Parts: sequence; C-alpha cells; structure tokens
Amino acid sequence: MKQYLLSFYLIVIGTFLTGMMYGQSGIVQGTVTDPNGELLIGATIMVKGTTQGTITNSDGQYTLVSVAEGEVVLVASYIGYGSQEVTVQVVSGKTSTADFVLSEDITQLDELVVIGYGTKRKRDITSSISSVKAEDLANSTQSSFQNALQGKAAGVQITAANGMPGSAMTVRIRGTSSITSSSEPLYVVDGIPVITGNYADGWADGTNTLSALSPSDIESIEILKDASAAAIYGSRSANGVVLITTKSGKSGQTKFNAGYWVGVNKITNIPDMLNAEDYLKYGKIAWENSGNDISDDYQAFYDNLSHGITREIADTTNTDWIDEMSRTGKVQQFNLSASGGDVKNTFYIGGAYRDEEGVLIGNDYKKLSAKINYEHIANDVFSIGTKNTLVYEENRRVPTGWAGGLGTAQSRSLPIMPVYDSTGKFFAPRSGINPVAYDADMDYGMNVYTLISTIYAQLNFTKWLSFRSDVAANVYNHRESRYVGTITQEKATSMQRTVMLSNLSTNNYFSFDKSFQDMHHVYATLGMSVESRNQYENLFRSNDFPVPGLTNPTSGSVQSGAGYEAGHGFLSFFGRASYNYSNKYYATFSLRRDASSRFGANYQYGWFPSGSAGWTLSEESFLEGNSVMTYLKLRGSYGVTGNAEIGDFEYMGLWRAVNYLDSPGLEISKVENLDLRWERTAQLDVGIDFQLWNGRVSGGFDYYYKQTSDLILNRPINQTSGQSSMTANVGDLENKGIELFLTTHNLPASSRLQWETDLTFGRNANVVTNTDDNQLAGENYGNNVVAEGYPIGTWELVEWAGIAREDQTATVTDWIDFNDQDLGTTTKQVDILAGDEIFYNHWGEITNEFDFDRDAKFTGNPYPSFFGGLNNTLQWKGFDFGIFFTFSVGMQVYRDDGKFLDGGFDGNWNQTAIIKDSWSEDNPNGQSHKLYWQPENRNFNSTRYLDEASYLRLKNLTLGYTLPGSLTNRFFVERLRIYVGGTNIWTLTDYSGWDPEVNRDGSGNITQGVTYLSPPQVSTVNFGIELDF
Amino acid sequence: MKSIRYKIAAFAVSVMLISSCEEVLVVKPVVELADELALSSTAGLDAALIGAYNKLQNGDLYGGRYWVSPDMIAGTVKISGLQNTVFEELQLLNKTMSGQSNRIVHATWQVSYEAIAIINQLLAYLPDVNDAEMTDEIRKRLEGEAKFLRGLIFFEMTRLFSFDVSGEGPLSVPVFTEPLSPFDTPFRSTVDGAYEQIIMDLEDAATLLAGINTNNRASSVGAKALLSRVYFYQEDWPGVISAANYVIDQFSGKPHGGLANDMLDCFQTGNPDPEVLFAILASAVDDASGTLRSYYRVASNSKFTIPIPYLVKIGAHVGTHDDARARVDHAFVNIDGKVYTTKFDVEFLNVPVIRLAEVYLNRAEARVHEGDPDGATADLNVVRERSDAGSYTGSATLEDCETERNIELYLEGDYFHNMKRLKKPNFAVDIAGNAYNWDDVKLVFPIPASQLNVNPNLKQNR
Repeated sequence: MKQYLLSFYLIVIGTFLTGMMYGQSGIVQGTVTDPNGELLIGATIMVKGTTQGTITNSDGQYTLVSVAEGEVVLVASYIGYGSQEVTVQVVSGKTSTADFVLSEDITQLDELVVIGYGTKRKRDITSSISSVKAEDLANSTQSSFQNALQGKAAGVQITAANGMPGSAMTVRIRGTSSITSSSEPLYVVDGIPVITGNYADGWADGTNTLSALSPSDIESIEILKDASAAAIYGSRSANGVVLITTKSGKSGQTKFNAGYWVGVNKITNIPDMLNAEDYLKYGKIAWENSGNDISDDYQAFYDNLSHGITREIADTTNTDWIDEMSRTGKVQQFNLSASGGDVKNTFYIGGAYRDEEGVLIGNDYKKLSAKINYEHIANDVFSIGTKNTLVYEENRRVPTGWAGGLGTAQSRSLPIMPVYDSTGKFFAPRSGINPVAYDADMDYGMNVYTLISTIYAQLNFTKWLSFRSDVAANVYNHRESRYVGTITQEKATSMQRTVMLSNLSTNNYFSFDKSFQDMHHVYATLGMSVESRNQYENLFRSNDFPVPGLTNPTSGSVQSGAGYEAGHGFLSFFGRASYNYSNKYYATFSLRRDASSRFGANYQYGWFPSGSAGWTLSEESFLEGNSVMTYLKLRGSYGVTGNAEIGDFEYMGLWRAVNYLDSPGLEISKVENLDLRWERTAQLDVGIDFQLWNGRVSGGFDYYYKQTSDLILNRPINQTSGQSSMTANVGDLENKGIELFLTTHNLPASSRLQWETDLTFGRNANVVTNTDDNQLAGENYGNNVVAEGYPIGTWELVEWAGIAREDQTATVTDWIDFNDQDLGTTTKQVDILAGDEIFYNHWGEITNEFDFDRDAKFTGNPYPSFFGGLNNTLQWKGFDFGIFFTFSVGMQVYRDDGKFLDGGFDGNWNQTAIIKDSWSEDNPNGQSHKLYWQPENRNFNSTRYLDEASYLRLKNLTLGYTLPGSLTNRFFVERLRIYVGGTNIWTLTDYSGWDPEVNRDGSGNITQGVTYLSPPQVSTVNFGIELDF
Repeated sequence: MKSIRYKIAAFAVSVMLISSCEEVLVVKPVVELADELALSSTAGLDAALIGAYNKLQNGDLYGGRYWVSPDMIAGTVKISGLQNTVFEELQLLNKTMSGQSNRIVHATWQVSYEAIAIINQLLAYLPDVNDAEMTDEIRKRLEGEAKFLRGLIFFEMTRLFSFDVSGEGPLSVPVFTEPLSPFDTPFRSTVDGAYEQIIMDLEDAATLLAGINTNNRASSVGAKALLSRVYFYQEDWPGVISAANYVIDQFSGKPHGGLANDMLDCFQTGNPDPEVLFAILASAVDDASGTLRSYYRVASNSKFTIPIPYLVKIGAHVGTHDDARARVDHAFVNIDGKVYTTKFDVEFLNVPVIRLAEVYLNRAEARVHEGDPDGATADLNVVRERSDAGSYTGSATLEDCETERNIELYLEGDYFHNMKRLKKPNFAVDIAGNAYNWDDVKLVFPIPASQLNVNPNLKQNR
C-alpha cells in the first residue's frame, strides 16, 4: 500500500515540478522487476548514449527527470541479470512509463569467482575452478555440506563412509595423489585453512570435523582443481583446494530468511539374512555334510550351537536382529538468518539447529550452530570485519563392526538367539554380545565444539592498491565418553577422551588491480601467511565401579590413561600476477615458497610455481558477433603443487617411552631422515570454456595429467638398524582424466516454463608408477594394496573359479619349495569334490587349495572410472521441480565380511540368504559352495567377494511451490515456499551388499571400497517450508 | 592524506615482516624424544636398558614364540580347535614357513634386532656419558646387563635361523656389536663366529655383574647359567661343567639342591622362585606372557593340546603317576579327552628363561660325556626327586639325560633344539603326520624376504 502512495506522490510532484522547470524535456518512470515480479532494488537505468541515469529505489522504482524530448532508448541493468533496452517516446512536460523485466544473466561471465587470496571475474579465469552456489546446496538433507556437493562439481568424487550423521567423507579432486599422506583437499573457509579429518577413537566409524559447517550459511564453494588455481596454496594444494565463502550482508533493508523441514530416514537397502527356520534347516545340512552325528534328531547339532543357545531356545526363537537394531529415523532442521546493513555496516547472522534420530538404534545427532559475519567500512580507506562460526554437535554413537550395533546384528546375532531369556532379562550369549542389551547397557557420546573465527582489516591505499590482513583462530574440541554397565559384562567400564586442536593463522597480502589504456589489465597479489597448529589428546579410562550410576571414570577402581600432543607450523610467502589484454589474451603466474616444521633442515623450504594462459577466441574478429558460439575460451596451465599432510615429526630420529613392569624405559621409535621433503605434484591442464546462444548452452571441458613424485612411503630398511622402515620420498604415481560440465537452458528465457539441465562428468585413471619395489599394505589377504602398474588400493586376491560341479582329481603345478622358486616346479594331485570352492592358481589351473603368496593377483579398483551428476530443474509459475541423479561407474567393493556371511557357517555368524542356493546333489547348479559346519580354513578371501559397485542413484528429488507474492505480501512475507523432497530414494546397482556407496575407513588412500559390517546409507523423505521476510 | 596512506603501507609491510616469525618452524616432539637427547645421560641409558628388557617381553620373543615356535616346528603341540589357528602358525606346524609372508618369522627377526639395536646404541653411547649420576658401578652394571641380553638374543636367533647355505659350514644371522645404519648391509656370521660373540658377551656379563644377585634382571649367576646352556649346545662339555658348577655352587646346602618344591612354582606371577635364574617378568599392568598363555592356558581356551606321541615320550599318557611332572590334574589336565598342560595356567606368569633344573640337566649330560656317569645320575636325581619321580640307580646314560630333559623342560622351547643337536632322524612331525629329519631346511626359519630385498649380502636358507 505504501508503495502505491509513494508512486502517486512521485507522479504528482514529478509531473508538476518538471513541467514547470524544464521546457524541452519530459519524465520517464517505471519499475524494474525480475521475471517472477520481484522488484529489483538498486538496478541502474541509463539513457543510452548519454551519462544520464539513475537507480531504482527501495521499491524497485525509478524516475528519470529532464529526459530530452523524442525517442530515447533506456537501458536497465542489474548484477546477475542481463540488461534490457526499452525504447520510449518522451514528450516535453509529460511523464512516460517504461517498465523493465530483467531476466537472469545466464552467461554469468561477469560473476565474481573466489580464488586464492582474491576474487576474479569468471571471464578472466584461466585455470580450472568449479563454482557451486548456495542454491545448488539447498536441497540436501544430509548433515555435511560435502554430501550436498556430490555430483555438483566435475571431477570431484565424494563418498560418504556410511549414512550415519556426521560420518567421515572421502573427497577426491582429480584422483588420489598420495599413498601415505592425506589425499583430502585443503579446506579454506573465508580465507582460513581449517582443521579437517577424523579425530574420533576407533571404536565407532569415523567422523568429519567439517560436519560443523551449516550448508545454509554457505554462499559459495569454489573448488580449485588445476595447478594454476591451487598452487598459490603451495605445499597443501596437491589434492586441490576447497574455498568456502560464508554469507555476508548487503546494505539495504534487513532480510530475514527462515526454513524448517522435517523428514524420515530409512536404510537404503537391507540384505536378506536367514531367519531362524532357515538357519536351522541349512545349519543341519551343513552339520550333516561335515559328517557329524545326526542321531537323536540332530541332538548333537543342537548341543553344538554357540552362544549358549539350547535346543528349546533355538526351536522357539526367530529374531530379526537387523530389525531390532534399526528403525525409521526422524530428522528435522531449522534455520533462521538475518542480513542487511547500511552504507557503513553490513551483517549476516545465521542460526541453525538439526536434530536427527538415526536409522541405527542408539545413533542420534544434534547440531546447533551460530554464524556472525559483520563488516564496518570506516571510510574509503579503511574497513574492518569479522566472520565467526560457532558450533556445538552432540553425536550419540554406536559401535562399529561386530563390537555392537548393526554390525553385530548382521553377524554374530543368530536368528535363533532371543533378545530376552525366559525370565524376561536380556539373553546373555556365552560368547559375543546381545546388541540390544549392549545398547541398553551403553552410553556412548561425543560432544564437539567448533570455532572458526576471523578478524580482518582492509586498507585501500588507492583505487588499485589495497592491503588485507586476516587473523584467525580455528578450534576443534571434542569429548568422547563411553560407559558400558554391568548388563553385558561383569565389571562396568568407562572411558573419556578429549581431543583439542587449535589452528592459529594469519594472511597478510597486497592486491593490485589496475587497467592501463583500457586494454592492459594487471591484477597482482603479494603476501605471506603463517599457520600454527597444536593438537592435544587425553584419554582417561577405568573399570570396576562400586554401584551403577557412577559413570565417570574417576569413580572406577582400576584407572589408566594415555595422552598425545603434537603440532606444526607453516610459514609461507606467495605472489601472483595476472595480465589480460582486452579480455582476449590472458596470462597468470604464481609462486609460493613454503616452509614447515614438518621437514628437516635439508628440505625445510619448498617452491611451488605455476603458470597459465588463456585466449578468448570469441573476442577475435572471426567469431565476434557469431550468434551461435557467443563465448569461447581456450586455456592451459602447468604448475607444481605439494603435499605436506604427513605426521608432525616424520623426519626426526626418535625414542619413545615404554615400561617394563614398574620401570620406565626407552626404545627406538623412528630412524632419522633429514632428506625428507614435500610430495610434489606436477599438473598439466588444458581446457575450454564455451557458451552457445548467449548462454543457452554453456559448459567446459578439461583434460589433466597429474604426476606425483617424491611420494612419502615407509621404505623397508635393514632391520639390523633396529627399525623396519623409514619415512622417505620414494614413490611416484599419476592421475589422468577428463572433466566435462554442461548447463543448458532448454527453453527460451521468455518461456513461462523454465527448464535447466546440468551435467557434470569426470573420468580419472590412477596408476602407481613406482613404489621402489615395495608392495604396501599387502600383508593381510583381502586388503587393498599398492602395487606398481595398478591403481592405488587395488586388491591382491586369489581368483575364484566358482563351484566345482563334479568330483575330480586335478593335476596342478607347484613350486618345489616356496622359498626356492628357482628350483623349478613339480606337479601334484588335488582331489576336488563337487560343491567345493575352486580357484585359479599361479599357472591358471583350477584347484581347491591355494597358496596366497603364490596365487594371488592384483585385481580391481576401488575408485570409479567415471562419475558425475545430472540435474534437472523446472519452474513453472510458482512451482519448482528438481530431479538429481548421481552416477559412479567402474569401481569395485570388497565385501570383507562376505567370507563369513556367505557360507562360512562357523556357528557364530548368521548367513545371508545366498546359502539357500548352495551346491547339493539336489541343487547341482547352486551358486554357493557346499555347506559345511564350522569348516576349517574355508573362509577364503577371493575375488568371489569383490563386487561390481557401479551405481546410478536418484540422489535428490524436490517439488516445491512458492505462494504468489500478492498473497504472502499481505502477511509481510516476501516469499513463502513449501516443498517435499527426497534423498537417496532410488539406486540402480548390481552390488549385493547393503549399499554400493560404502567405505570402511573414512579417508584413507589405500583402504577404499571395503566393507566389513559397515553401517549402510540412508534415504530421506522430507517436507519443508521456507520464508523470506 | 597521501602521505598518511604511504605510512600505512609501510606499516603493513613491516607487520608482514615482523609476523614472519620463524619460530613456528620449530616444534619439538614431547611424546617422543629426539635421538641426541635420549642416550646422553645416565638416566637415558638406564631407560634404554629397560627398553631392551621390554623388547624381550614381546610375544615373538620370550613373551611366547621364542619357546612356542620351536615346539610348533617340532610338532610337540597339536591344534585344540578352541581357537582359530592362523596361517602363520599352520605354516610352522606344517614346516612350510614362507620367508615372504610368515609374520612370526618376520617378527622374530625384527623384534630381536630392535632389541639388539637398543643394546648396541646403549653400549656405543655408554663411554661418553659422564654426568653426575654416572659411577663405575653403574657403568659396569649397564654394560653387563646389555651384553647379557645381547648374548641371549643372538643365541636364540642362531638356534632358529642357522643353516649351512653353501656347504661351507652353517651360517647364523648377522652378529654385530656396533649400531648399524639403515643402509649397512651386514653378512651372516658363521655359527662358530656367532657362538664366539655370544660366549664373549655372556662371560663379560658374568664378570661385570659380579655381586649382583637377582633373578628378575641379568646377573652373573644368570649369565653363567646361560653359558652352561650355550656350551651345552656347542657340546663343549668342560665348558658346561665349569659354568654349571659355578651356578650350582651358589645353591649348596639348599633343599632339593636349590630347586623349588614344585616345578610349577617357577611358573608363577610376582617375585620369581629362586630356582628361576633369569625371568622375563609379567604383571597385570604389563602382561608379558599373554602370547604364551594364549597358546597353552586352559582358562584362555588353549590353542594347543599335547599330542599323544609326546605324552608317551614323557610317560604321562596313561594311569596315575608319582612323577608330579606327568601327573594329571597337576602338570596336565584332561578335558574331553584332550590333554592340556597346566604349566602356563597362572595369569600374568613370569617367563622363566632359564631355571636351575636345566643347569643340572646340562651338567648331567656333560658329566656322561666326560666320564662321570655317577655324577650325572646325581644331577638327574636332584631334578627327579623334587618331583617325586623316584631316583635313578646306577650310571646315567645319554638316553636318560635326554628323557629327563624332555619331561622337565617340555614346552620350554628346548626339545626342538635338543633333537637337532642330537641329529635325530625324522623327529619333527607335521599335522598330517609326515616326519622331517633334523637337518631338513624346512625346520629352519627362512630369512625374511623383505630383508633379502634390502640386503643383498644375506643368503636365504635353502
């Protein structure tokens, strides 16, 4: 109503005044809106060909006075929107009207992209950077922002270890570039490198320090992928850099945003396990097949049952343990933010609360976060600001593997085992645990406190030279406590562990930004940074408590403790210079010099140079004005990045404390290597960026080749020195790949139905080229290994040949003596029985017995050969619809638990339903081997359990409706949207376990794609509401 | 206005330079200690010595497998089925130890050398430490204890790894007395050379530790007792008698000739019985014998039972016995038809590396060889009478000595080495019952393949 009054007032006054004062001119007025009818404040309206112009007021209206008489062209423009020209007839002394509807600028070439220590226009970038905006993260229902990034950035592979809230994430930018150091990217929040990783103890699955960041506070995420973009971060940039920019306020009316959603969680897929009837049926078959006594109606079989299960119990029980230990979870999230400010002060305040009841009994997660960003511009020289994130997380955890929880429910909890015994007490198995009792007995929690706080000041000496200084503290602090009472054990045990990490850092740098003669543009940065990290850990545990209720370890009678502390520092100088000739030819050079306490005097300093060049072909005369190829840029870069994410004291020769009874002692823990130096990754990148039809189709393509050398490995040494290995730079590996992203606006901008499609695609091939003949981590069968000529984390496994269909005596080759391979070979006879598992030996012959050292081969790859995402969003009137698929193709998952679950029948583990199709005389084509009861050494690791894990997943589906502004405005609500959505709702895969997206060990490089009773992923269906006011 | 801006710019530059504090590059570890600090004081050397004792507690050394491995190879143990037997153990039981992947073989080599490295470092630093705490007495004790442990470890390694690789005489492991760098590639010593060093170390220890009377650390009596064992395995009979005499003389006038009332008294926790001449200690806080107990302790579901042939050998297979060492429900227990030892049933038991009873047995055989069979009878009877096993009359034979060793020292890692010393044909059996001759290369630990890779001077046993 107010605006109508104001307009009326303006029209009246305006008409009156101009009519009186100016003879040969008229007035033009009108509004500027976006296609949804939203008024745009601060849009510029210029009279074309003159310097006359104005901006829209807070009601989205403008008035141009004394516009020369006649036909004039007005141009309206607004950041992020395309400009529009309107021709208007100006009559002297009269008021004409010209309204503008600006559509979003889909070319986005003038959008600012955050780069290391600065920003650049998108069109000026000559390196490979993926930029993800807040709205692209909005539909995710998962707790970490990394989940929301899945499939959104080409070449960035993101895997959640499992579906538990706050769980560890694996993020690989252009493949895995290290073996023993971290392969996770460097995360930089508002210019500050932050603490990342998993610091929880190994009792439950790993956690993710970055789950503290609320996606609703994030403005944009830039992923620096090639050397030219990343090398400004020197020794920490070999795995790419993720720059996170949090929201800040804009001058103008205070804007409030509130959102709430509530959803339900379910396990994506539950594998089929035996019920009690089948367990007994097939158990008896196995029992009989093993030649055991079946007289007296299998009495001996029942006597042999584990866990103290009697015949009576077994015949009357049928427990679905997975059902007992899982549930439909609930999750709700609320966030509220306010932003705004005046000319001198701007602010953003955000708060978020998440409350998640996990799908595993006992697993709950709460997060409360606050975000305070504030900036004060004192004058045109000096400004100061602060950015703060404060988060509290409460994670009620469940143990991992068969230590309890779902892991136990799917393994050692037999369906013939009751939850409660006949007296109503928890059934106490003789060995192992009753997971329901264990959950009741246990209190296992983790409280996490995170602070990321920065104060910055900026001095603008001139328009083209400024200096900025950031001083930041990042603190991560958690306390884990675990109390297990006396329901499941004789003596209660209690543990408390606190971990405190602090990262103090400062960046100080000059920025230079100047154009000469409108053609030469120079942009440069020069500065330094210091970073100092400390880590402290304390563990306090005890057992044997006087009475229940005292749970703090201080009350236990037998107490023990442990501690750890470490730290490191970085001192860095960096510079970058970019030159741009008429937006046509580009060149950038950067150089960083890093020094770290993690390296000895011989190699404490490292230099990390990079260079890139770009050529915008569409600015050349042969393409200028081309209506199809409206933008085309070729770019290339090369540079050296480093990796210093190793232990803090790796180069030193060290002794550590030990004890012999009561006496303290010392032993050698490490041999010195003063030549230890940074892992180096040299990366070549060639790419194109293009737009067709003014951005109707836009995209980019990159080819990269990353060679990593000086990999830090534990090199085996002569043990006569007292140690088995030393940390040394010995390995090489490489990653090669392509990336493609494509955005298409499938319908014209004028259409009422808007349909946008985004595709990201990444293909990466990793190969380890040198390990100094040192095969790593291959000591246990079935584990991932590092082997020359194979991708990192390939498996060393004996190849499974299936099931023998008939009895046969095979003649197989053997070495005369295993240690004496040069003595030649011999042959021997092996008796293979129908139903036996058979394998290929070293010579490709079929046998039922194998020698792992001799017969195992390198096989499989835990990393996909290609992966990406396909997103479609549609808008029609107030409706919006989004459908987002992710895909990951060509990787395998090793089901390390398969050997026990698929026909192990050791009597302690339940079996999967696959054993119903075991070989028998009546089922000669059974796909599983003949069942035996407690078979000795039949739990072979082999390629049998190496599953194809390719998948296509409907990651996200959203349907929303925004109420008409005309309706909501009456209630002072600018925008109101309601929506329903879903996450992980459908998956297409051949994988036979729970979910193909699985990773036993959070972010390790080698142990990827392995599951061992790992918790599954979850799917969520949610309903939500969003309000702007 | 402009000049102010330049002043600010200058200030900004100086902020950058001042804050370029190099001290962030100096971070000292506090959980661990840098090399040069560790061994530069008496306290550090003393701690390193403790570190060497601690290594001997390791499950692959006296914590267990210095004893269990030879018994697995000899076949004096049988899988009970109460626990999973891992493939490394199956390889030992089947004499198919792989130099590539057998973790027991690897760890035995590795941990032994970890202890040797600590000892050699200690001995190398010892002459240069002259702080206020250092006295001649301490210097002698440190040197004596270090040499005692070094002799003992090289002796165990020599027995497990020695083989005549080239037909030019048997080779031991690399035996050396200086700290080696990761890039030193030592040759295997000859067995004779190894024994020379072992004897020199133990003789030095006996001298340097004179007056130190303890059985929970190295002592001169312990060193002499070990010498009686080393000479015994070298078949240097006068050497055995001389070393044994020294030890046995310390116990003159004691009941049972100084032996405990019950052999099982030597397998207890707390302070070791005086019969034990050197023990690796265990306690609830520092559980040294966990590995050993996991193989044999009944309450921990013994991994191994005693096979019938061995029970026959020691006369414990049938009936009741006066001999406490063969008596069911004392030294053995029969559960569901399987026979288990009770030697290792005490929780956190100390591991008696050498007992006085063995010294008597060493001397008995030496006396037979040296023409004193009656003296041998007396020695055997000291050991027998303590266990109510009755007495030998007449002159003891070599067979008597061997039988007595088998009974007294069973599962203490002696049988295997003694059978090899006696060049017994087909004494070692695998799971399937195949027998192996004393000189079969399959009875010898292979050199770990990882070490052959890094040291071209090592020759594999083959």
